[in-house]
Amino acid sequence: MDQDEAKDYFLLSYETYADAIYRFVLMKVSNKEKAEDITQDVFVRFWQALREGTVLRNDRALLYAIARNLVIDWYRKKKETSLDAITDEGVEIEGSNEVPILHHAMNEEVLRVIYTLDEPSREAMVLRFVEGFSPAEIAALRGESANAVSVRINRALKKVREQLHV
Amino acid sequence: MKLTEKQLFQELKNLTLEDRSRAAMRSELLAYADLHAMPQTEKAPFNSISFITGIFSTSRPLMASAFAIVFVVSTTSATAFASEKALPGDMLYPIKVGVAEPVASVFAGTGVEKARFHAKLAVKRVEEAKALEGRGPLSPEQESELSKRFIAETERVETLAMAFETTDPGASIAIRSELAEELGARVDHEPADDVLATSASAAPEVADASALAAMPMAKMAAPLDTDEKETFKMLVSKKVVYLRSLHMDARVIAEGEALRAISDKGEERPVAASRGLLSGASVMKAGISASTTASSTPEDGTHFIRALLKAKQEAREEREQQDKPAATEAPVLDAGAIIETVESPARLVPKTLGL
Repeated sequence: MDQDEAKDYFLLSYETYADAIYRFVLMKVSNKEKAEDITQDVFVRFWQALREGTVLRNDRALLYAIARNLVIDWYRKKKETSLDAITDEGVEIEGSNEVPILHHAMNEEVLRVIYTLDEPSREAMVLRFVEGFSPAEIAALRGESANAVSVRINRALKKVREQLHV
Repeated sequence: MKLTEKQLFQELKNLTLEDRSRAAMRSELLAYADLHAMPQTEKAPFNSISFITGIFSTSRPLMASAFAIVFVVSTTSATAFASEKALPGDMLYPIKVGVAEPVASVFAGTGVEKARFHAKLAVKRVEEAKALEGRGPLSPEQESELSKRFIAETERVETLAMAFETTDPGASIAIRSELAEELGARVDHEPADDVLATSASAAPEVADASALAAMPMAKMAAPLDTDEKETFKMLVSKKVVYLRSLHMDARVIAEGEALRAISDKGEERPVAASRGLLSGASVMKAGISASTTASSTPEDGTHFIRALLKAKQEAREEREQQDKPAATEAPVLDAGAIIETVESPARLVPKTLGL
């Protein structure tokens, strides 16, 4: 690919997946600005992959894998800094049950329901029912078996139904 | 209101980037992609084996003869000289652009000399295109090869000239204006091609706009009395930078203009780009000649204005001469959108996925 072709391809990927990646990240970091930063970072890495001539058999999977790793990195860094904060100031501000700060005009009920799920279930639900991944694709992303993912989705769906009919 | 599952997932689907954020991110990513461009297919001339194979990897049937040629080249430099007149499609052309020129570039010195050298190569590419057109219509391969190489050379000149802009502004302007002039001269003498005429006719208009935009600064320079010379020098150097950005804009506009016109005719994009660049070059000519005149006579601030007015006047006259095609084409400002429509993304996907 020359520069122009690569750029066209890159733009096409961006237009196609930016929202989905953003959503995926937002569900994990619960902060709009942070999710935007990470989304941009995902596409920077994606360009680097194009440049290095990575063979792109499935770039959706690649984008999600990058996003997932960046979120993990971010949590790791966050943990370090919050540990620093503890030693510096002797206080920990964040509680264990973090309140999502999404800054989106959204049905609060949706957020309440989706955040009753644990992180892996939330990810599985969004990927399955919002993005249309198959259980096998979700499994590949997380390095799990498709069966485990299917079970998780079913349990999560049950939980969501219970929540909705409270 | 009770939510259903379906509504829940639909709501989640609406969770998207805001348009503003998406657009900002898009332009930042594009800038990043330009800054970290894809590696060139040609490799550095120092690693001779991978370099030579690199050149010919695109044309496998040529491999055998290529190695024969390489052998000849390595035994005598006569072939390299013989390749001097080669045109795209000729056996010796890869030697010319792949070996002889990069090697000559290494020995062309640094900074100013190197920029001049690459400016010559850019002009050479245009001349090759003309020589080929003399033989008959260009094949798509020849067109794309020439335009890619032409763009690479002009970009090289731009990069080099920018590097010594602060240390040697005179030479920096001179080299770019000379190149613009050389290219401009060749644009004007092109056979009556309506596409080219269209983009060329857009050029004076842009030059006009550039000159107008430069006016306020020039006026600022005029009423200076104390330390006029020093302040004016400073203003001129700022102006150079400012004008350069205008030229870049002009180039993009001209390129977009050419792309659009050519897409109607179904021509290949690289050709369009190179022609756009050519007409962009003639835009640069007007602006740069104005700033060159100004910086060569910094005693009097009014010189600058006069130079600009003159450039503007010339631009207007030029446009009046070419009035016909200009009337049919409205100026296009969004080159990005044009590029997208020309190169249909749908066509790229299977290619990239190796299908």
